[in-house]
Amino acid sequence: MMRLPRRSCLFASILFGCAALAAGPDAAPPKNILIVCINCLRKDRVGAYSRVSNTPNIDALAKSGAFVFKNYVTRATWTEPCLFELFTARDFRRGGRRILETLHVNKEITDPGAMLGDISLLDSGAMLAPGGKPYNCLWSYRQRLDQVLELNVIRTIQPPFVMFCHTTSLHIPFATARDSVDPRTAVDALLPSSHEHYLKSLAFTKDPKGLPGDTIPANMSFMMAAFGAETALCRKLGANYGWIVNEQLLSAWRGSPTYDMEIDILRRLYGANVRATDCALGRLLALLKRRGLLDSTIVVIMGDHGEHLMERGYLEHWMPYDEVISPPLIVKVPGMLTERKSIEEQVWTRHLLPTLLALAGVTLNEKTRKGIDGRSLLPLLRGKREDIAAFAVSERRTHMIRKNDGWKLIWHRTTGKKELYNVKTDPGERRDLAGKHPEIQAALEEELLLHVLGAPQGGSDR
Amino acid sequence: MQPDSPLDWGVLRAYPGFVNASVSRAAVLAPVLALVVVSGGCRPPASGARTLNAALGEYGIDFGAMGKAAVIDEFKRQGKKMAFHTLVATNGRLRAELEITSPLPQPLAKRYGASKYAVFDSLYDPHRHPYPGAITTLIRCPKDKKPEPVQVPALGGNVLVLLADASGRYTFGVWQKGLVKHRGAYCVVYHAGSKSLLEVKLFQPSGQFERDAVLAAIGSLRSLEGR
Repeated sequence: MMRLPRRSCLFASILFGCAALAAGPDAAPPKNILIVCINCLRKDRVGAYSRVSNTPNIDALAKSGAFVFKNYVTRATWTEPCLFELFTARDFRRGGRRILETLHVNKEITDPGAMLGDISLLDSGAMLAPGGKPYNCLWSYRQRLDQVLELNVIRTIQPPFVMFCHTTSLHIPFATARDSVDPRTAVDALLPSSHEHYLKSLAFTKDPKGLPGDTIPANMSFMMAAFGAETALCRKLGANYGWIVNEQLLSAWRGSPTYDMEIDILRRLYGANVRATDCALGRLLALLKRRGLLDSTIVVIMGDHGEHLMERGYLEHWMPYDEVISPPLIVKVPGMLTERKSIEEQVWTRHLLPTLLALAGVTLNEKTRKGIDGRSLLPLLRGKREDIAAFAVSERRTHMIRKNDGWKLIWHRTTGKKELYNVKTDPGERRDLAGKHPEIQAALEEELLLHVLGAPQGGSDR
Repeated sequence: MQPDSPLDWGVLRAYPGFVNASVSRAAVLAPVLALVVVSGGCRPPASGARTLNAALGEYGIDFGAMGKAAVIDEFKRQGKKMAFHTLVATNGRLRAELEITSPLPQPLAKRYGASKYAVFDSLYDPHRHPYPGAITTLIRCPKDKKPEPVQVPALGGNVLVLLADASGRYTFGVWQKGLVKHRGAYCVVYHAGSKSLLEVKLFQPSGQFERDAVLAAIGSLRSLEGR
């Protein structure tokens, strides 16, 4: 699927086309919008957030004058709710039963247009206005960025345009780097050739042919493919996700002499994929620059969620620790900044669309404003200190609430277990303070419970 | 109970007998006596330890013989509008884990209770496998590992009790045979008198699981009002 299904394009056209119209005929020429949503991107791999960087192109973009959000919190630990909120600015729990089903059944939603199609914001016509030129839209979903670059439309799309590229290059299995990487970039440099068999095994073949016999019983990829990576240490953690765990395989893997090496390789593979994705992003930005469009384009680089690389024994993106629920968010607005600016305030996925519309010069009417849960971050970008997201909630079967003051409660609903952290004083979430601050814990529990139950509450983020 | 919130539809789907199934009070209470006779009564709590009944007395609830169990872990915290109370107690034969949320108006409690059942239910849902592996793309829970639903009269109403296997860390779920160390009962009960929602888990070692006795223990939950 190179382009979004027709219905989804229609959605994007309505949303952004109407947004352009709403700006009115006398407004400044609309800016183009490019959103690159990199699935599973972690902050600690991006130079704007960390000293260790696999992302020279993203870093260069940030350095050239972009807003770097240090406390961006995603609405959930998986993609669909994040995209739902990104493009509707509404709480995904208000999105109807189809969205809520994903809470309980790990169902794939392959057509975001169908997912979003019944959202009242889109049907309200609230942003319709006469005159103006509609945006040209390109939406790629679950594609590698280098595949998107092969599309002719990238070279021919005319301004004003909206480009949304959701790339899954970093998703397990980390096999894409090998296929997609530019030979001049990461993999060869990061992975010694002696690890070639692990690359092969990560293609998830059941056939052990070609793998060294002595490592097969403890082969990480076999285990992941067979039983789901998220169960890897569920026994140790007292958690359970409904999978039958094969203890023999787990023990063999954990106790194997290759365990540490495999984890190391896993992390290197992830890094290689980050590098490859960044490389493709660099090509995309260069292409826009060559066409003279970059200086009139708002560029958003974001993760829909992060990824666990065996921190606390977790892989993938199931648990709401900060590695997963606080991915990068970088916004470059042409002509607004000349150097990188960090935003420390906590913001939420639903705030992005109103912000982009505001940056594009769209004024939302009253009805639309009331229909959405997000709000524009423009005042924040202009230097006004605001408590935009007093709390942010992320959920799967494990719920999380994170306050602007750094307190964070994790609620494992299947076990009832709760964890309490202050991410400002303990950014690695190493010291579980549950039971040690009853008042803080109770306040967070109450707020989270009321949010989950959808009851009216004080201290809303609106 | 009708599914009136986005979270509770899974409950009735999973347990169609939720409304109609029932167990007579006599059938439930008989094993209580059996438990008392067989066990010689519950082990008295250690000197100075608070009993479960003493803790539940705050809410006007009595847990029958199980209420004599000693509280071994307790954490109470007060929010702006509601309080949360976690209790772990044991009488040597049964381990009880309770989480009490109060005060909760009945509609909210109904939704919360339903969502708790939905989360429990989801442990046994089929899972799409996230990897394009050659082995399988869908894992379904085997029938023999699914929870057994039973209706038990308690606290003035019929309560849905789910009997299921649990791990050595008292975690319900689909565990491989070697990891099943306990079998337990799970239920959510609302006490209108104190506007309290109780999540109750009772566990016994899997080899010694006494189904009727465990159900009877839950059936012994009653309100102290009007006594």
